[in-house]
Amino acid sequence: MLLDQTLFIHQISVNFFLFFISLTAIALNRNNFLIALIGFEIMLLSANLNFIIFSYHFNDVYGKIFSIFILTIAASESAIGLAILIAAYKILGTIEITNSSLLLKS
Amino acid sequence: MELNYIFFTTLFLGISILIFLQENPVYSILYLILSFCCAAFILFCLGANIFGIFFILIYVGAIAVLFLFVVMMVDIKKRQFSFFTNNANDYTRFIVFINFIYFSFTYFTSSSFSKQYNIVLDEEKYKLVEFFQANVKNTAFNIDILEEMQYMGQVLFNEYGIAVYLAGFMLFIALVISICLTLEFKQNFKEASTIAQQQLSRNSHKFF
Repeated sequence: MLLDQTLFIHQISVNFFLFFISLTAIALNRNNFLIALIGFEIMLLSANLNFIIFSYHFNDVYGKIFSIFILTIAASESAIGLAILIAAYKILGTIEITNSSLLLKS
Repeated sequence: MELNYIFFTTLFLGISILIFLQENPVYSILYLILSFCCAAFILFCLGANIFGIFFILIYVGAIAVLFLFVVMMVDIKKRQFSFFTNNANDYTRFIVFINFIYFSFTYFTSSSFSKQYNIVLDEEKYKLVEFFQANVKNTAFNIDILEEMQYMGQVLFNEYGIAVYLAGFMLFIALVISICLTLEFKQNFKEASTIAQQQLSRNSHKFF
């Protein structure tokens, strides 16, 4: 199944805007760790959508297989990041990063 | 349908901007779930049915629920989560304006619009996958999905079998690391052992 050309270009533009939004959110976010994790998650989602769209457009199976591995990477990354968040909350009491980071406090 | 696709892409962009403008992280995670659902519906509209199902299963069922559990565990009632200092309602007009521009642009450059006014002449290139009509015709048993899944499975488990094992091992390592980070060995063991000794001793009525 081959995709429509205009739909392909629209979807690539949507993925680019998603990546840009999440990157600006991570760059401008100064105090919250959980929002940064959500930003990483959406960056991975945009990359995943790009792989799927390109694989459907060029009728190739390898992009789809790579997207499955990206799904596993996103799941493991979110699990470890949230575990680090809970450990930091146990030590510090808050999730703010800038004023009191773990490395500076030790 | 193409109008469904345009509708879901505009929703997707607006919601993904709204995620980062919330003060309360619970709302941002609910918007995250909505954005994952919108990505899945976009894939349904484009004809990638398997990956729509995968997105709903893995992103909504595993990752977003994990975020929700963590937000329930971590107690947050202060206003320390504001991404911008201003209220999010100041940005809604801007977001609605951007979404309106995007919707109009995609609608006027879409092929159904150009088909109505005979702008583009190649009709064989512009065949769209009509998701809802296809589902009404073949209910829950689509032959294209089966062929695609068979082909994907053959390539995945023959060429990339070692990679599948490594991905499973990576998920296992993530599980072990998340347990090791959140456990506190000494305190929990002592408290549990003392409580168990008190409960299991012969003078157990003193414990209660």
